[in-house]
Amino acid sequence: MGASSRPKLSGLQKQVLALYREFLRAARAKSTEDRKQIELIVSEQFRRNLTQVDRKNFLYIEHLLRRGKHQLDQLKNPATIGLSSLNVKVSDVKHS
Amino acid sequence: MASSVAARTGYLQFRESSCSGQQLCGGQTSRISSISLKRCKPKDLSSSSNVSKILRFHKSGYSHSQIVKKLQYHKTMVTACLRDGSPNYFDFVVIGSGVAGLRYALEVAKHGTVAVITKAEPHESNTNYAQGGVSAVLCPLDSIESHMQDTIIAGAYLCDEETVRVVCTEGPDRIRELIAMGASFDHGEDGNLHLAREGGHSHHRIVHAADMTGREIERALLNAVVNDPNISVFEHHFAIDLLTSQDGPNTVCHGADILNTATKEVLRFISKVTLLASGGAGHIYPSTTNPPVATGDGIAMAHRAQAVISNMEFVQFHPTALADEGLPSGPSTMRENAFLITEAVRGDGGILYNLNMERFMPFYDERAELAPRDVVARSIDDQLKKRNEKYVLLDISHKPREEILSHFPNIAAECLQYGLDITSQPIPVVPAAHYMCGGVRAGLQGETNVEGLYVAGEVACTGLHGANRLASNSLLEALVFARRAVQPSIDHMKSSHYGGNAADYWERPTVPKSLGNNVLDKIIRRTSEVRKELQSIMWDYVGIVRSTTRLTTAEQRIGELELEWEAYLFQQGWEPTMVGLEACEMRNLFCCAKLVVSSALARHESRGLHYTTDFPDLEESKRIPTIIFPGSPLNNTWSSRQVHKQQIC
Repeated sequence: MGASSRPKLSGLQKQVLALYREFLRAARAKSTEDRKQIELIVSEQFRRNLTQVDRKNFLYIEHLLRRGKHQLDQLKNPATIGLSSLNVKVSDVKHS
Repeated sequence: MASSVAARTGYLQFRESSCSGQQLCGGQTSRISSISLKRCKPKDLSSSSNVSKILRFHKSGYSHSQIVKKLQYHKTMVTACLRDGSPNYFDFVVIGSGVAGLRYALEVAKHGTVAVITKAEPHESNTNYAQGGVSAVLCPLDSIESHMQDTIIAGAYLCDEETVRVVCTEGPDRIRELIAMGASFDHGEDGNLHLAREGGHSHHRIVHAADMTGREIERALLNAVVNDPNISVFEHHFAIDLLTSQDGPNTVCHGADILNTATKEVLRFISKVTLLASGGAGHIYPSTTNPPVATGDGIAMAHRAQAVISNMEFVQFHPTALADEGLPSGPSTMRENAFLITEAVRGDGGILYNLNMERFMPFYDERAELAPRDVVARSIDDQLKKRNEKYVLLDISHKPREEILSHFPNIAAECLQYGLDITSQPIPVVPAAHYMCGGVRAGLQGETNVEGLYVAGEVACTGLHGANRLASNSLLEALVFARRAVQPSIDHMKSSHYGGNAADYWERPTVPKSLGNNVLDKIIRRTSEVRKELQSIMWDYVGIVRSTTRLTTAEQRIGELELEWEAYLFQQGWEPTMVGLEACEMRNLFCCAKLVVSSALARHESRGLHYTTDFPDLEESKRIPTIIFPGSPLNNTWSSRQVHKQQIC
């Protein structure tokens, strides 16, 4: 039995993963199609942050965690049926 | 003002006696349990009332508190409005959301409802900025006696031996509990906890999470608190004064008046047990490593509530805070608090140089850079004064790059932001106010002379630190005492009852709405100027090296400044019962500053952190703590009276 090759997760990393799992659990409580939509958006957001946010940027990560928790609470509310996100593209308009 | 006396140590006698009072009239007061104050607008509320006024009752699991007679008890989901004036009843009120407050809250939440009051965001606390680690005897080669000895030596033999024994013995268990709660500390290659070394410790015994241990502990505790249904966190709530009454010769604490700084409303919290865990008072000095919330609120409130204060003269200046003047491209705006370069950098081999690249520590102490902080701080202060310079240099660049970056990632990143690479350049450092060893005098269970009032953490003076705190002992003290205060609190809670119209017994503080925005702006601006002036008096006259003349000058000037400021306030129309964040913080700062100066004047020797040129040596006969008893109510300033005890002429 060799030593595990995966590095030990830090407390902060565990908290992020726990939040992700909570989101998926909350999604399960919704209808099937809404659930797929929610899971898609949530995993896309987490994946994006994984690549874009510097893992040492603790302040920002903590901020995202707090915001995520608020969003999770809203999602857990039985009246909420789904999530949606907007992608705002700013076009380069040259003013003549 | 208070009289300061140096007295013998003795254990604090805590007398158990339940509050005598009328029983609660049935039906009128409903107890709110498990409130969560939400920021976002819930979808199912149709009313357009202010979001902060809307609370949601959660199903309450159980209650052990003794509310006698009938009560309207809401057990189902009900939305209700928090009316101005209706008091909030909790079994336990915790003031402060650092390691001491949160650790205590998590434990007592198993026995009753808890309100955690925090004046900013919950993670804004001194704990969050603690870098080095927590010290505990976890290595088989280490011993409790060794930890005790290191603590007592660093404390210049002013420590209370029983307290030191208790803390050093219970420390390892508290750390294990933290790990069980989800805090993840660094482990070594052998799989065990990595124990670092710091100045003043004779063994490797510092448990840490890279260079941000406090942050990790705060994160784990806050995570647990947020998930606990019995704990309600009230953020942006500022504690104004403790609500106290006299039961014969004893003072009893019944809760506190709180200002919601977001909505500018005053709320009254009635509780059977109050824990003060509000931290220190770094902001009485201009340069401090403490976040802006550290304005000595707890110490001031306790003093006004007739609690005994002890050892305030021992202000620890951290010898190595990042000196912005020495950075290649310093921060564009003035920082609110100095960035700390942890003890562990010196423990890992960092060397101090003056600007001529001369290593000066060996001339001051044979332990060189590993001498306790007060020695290092005085040496740096001496170098700065002799050479008339602004900072000295701390060099760790001789260590391997990977090692530096893995041990001190936070420091490396912070310095890199300003163009400094710590793996190849020395770090500019200067002493800054860091920790208050003194505070509200506490017994072995965190109890004070005020019944129902417990203290833990930096705000307490437990006798552990003595005249100087050993590095990494502060988080340890907070953990141990927060835990020790739990059982006595539960016992006290079970044996006490709410008095009849308890909440109306005290005069209500008011908010200065009637003054208008212009006047309020003027007051805030003037208060900010007065704060800076107080800070510069403290740094010039009550700094690292003191003298009787300078201390007396400080006392006089602070007294004058306070009267001047209060006169200005009242001239502008401020009533004695009015409260506002800036004004309340200022009065707390004045209170703490005066306590520090009186304590410093009372100690006629130099011991640990308190060094005075008029009495430069240790005096065995003076090896006793400084005690300040509550002052007489006559001839007092606005700052030294509780808001609900102000006499309106």
